Amino acid sequence: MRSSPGLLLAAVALSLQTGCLIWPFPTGDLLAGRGRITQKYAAPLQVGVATREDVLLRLGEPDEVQAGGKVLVYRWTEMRGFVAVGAYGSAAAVPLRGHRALRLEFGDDARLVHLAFEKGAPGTPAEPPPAENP
Amino acid sequence: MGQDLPLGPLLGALLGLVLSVGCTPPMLRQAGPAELQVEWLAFLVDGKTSREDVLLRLGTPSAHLEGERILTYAFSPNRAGAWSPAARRWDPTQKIYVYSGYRIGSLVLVFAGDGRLVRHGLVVSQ
Repeated sequence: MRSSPGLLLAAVALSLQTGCLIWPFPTGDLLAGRGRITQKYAAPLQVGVATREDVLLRLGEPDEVQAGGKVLVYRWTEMRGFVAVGAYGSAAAVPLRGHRALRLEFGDDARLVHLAFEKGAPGTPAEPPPAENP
Repeated sequence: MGQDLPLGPLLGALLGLVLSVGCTPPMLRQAGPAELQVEWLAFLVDGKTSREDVLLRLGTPSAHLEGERILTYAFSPNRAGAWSPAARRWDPTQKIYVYSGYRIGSLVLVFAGDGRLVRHGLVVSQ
């Protein structure tokens, strides 16, 4: 990614003054999930055309199954940056998590009726797909 | 006060961050025909392979949908490079599986009413 030199200098200057650095740039690490789903990759899944099995064959196993399979959710968590703190003789960095999801809803005929990319941490705790309830 | 802080560790952490910027996380993609013809998947033939064949060869699926019509298996390469069932744990807070490996494959098998395989695919992260 590209970032402005001024912003970088400001971040370094802040770290020198406080011993704390907020690094709000994606690092490319995947913290959870199988991988990122891009809009381009999901583009062939057309509403009204794609079936549930089309979706599964393109995206693989979902992370969440709701309403008896009428809603499938794919999630992944990316590293969106760091908060780095320096103390006397030590330093630590805490990742800033970026929660992402692709939610797909199906009609009674198993055809896709809605597809949406979502951001933010999930709400209420959920159960994994059937067959594996650790 | 800030000048009293030992900056070595912080600058080291900063350098690590700088070096890591510019990467993108692994993205999902569909495996190509050649990747589906590897030894451990070559027995999968649409219209021929039965659900029993699959269960005997691959074991318990990681998930099933629409009853037993669609089975999925999660795999990851082991140290020898061979694919084996992926080690993972469910994180209820994030609502997501956390995998111990980095390159994960998701095998999806769709069966007809008579238990024969009709479609299959492998989704990998890369």
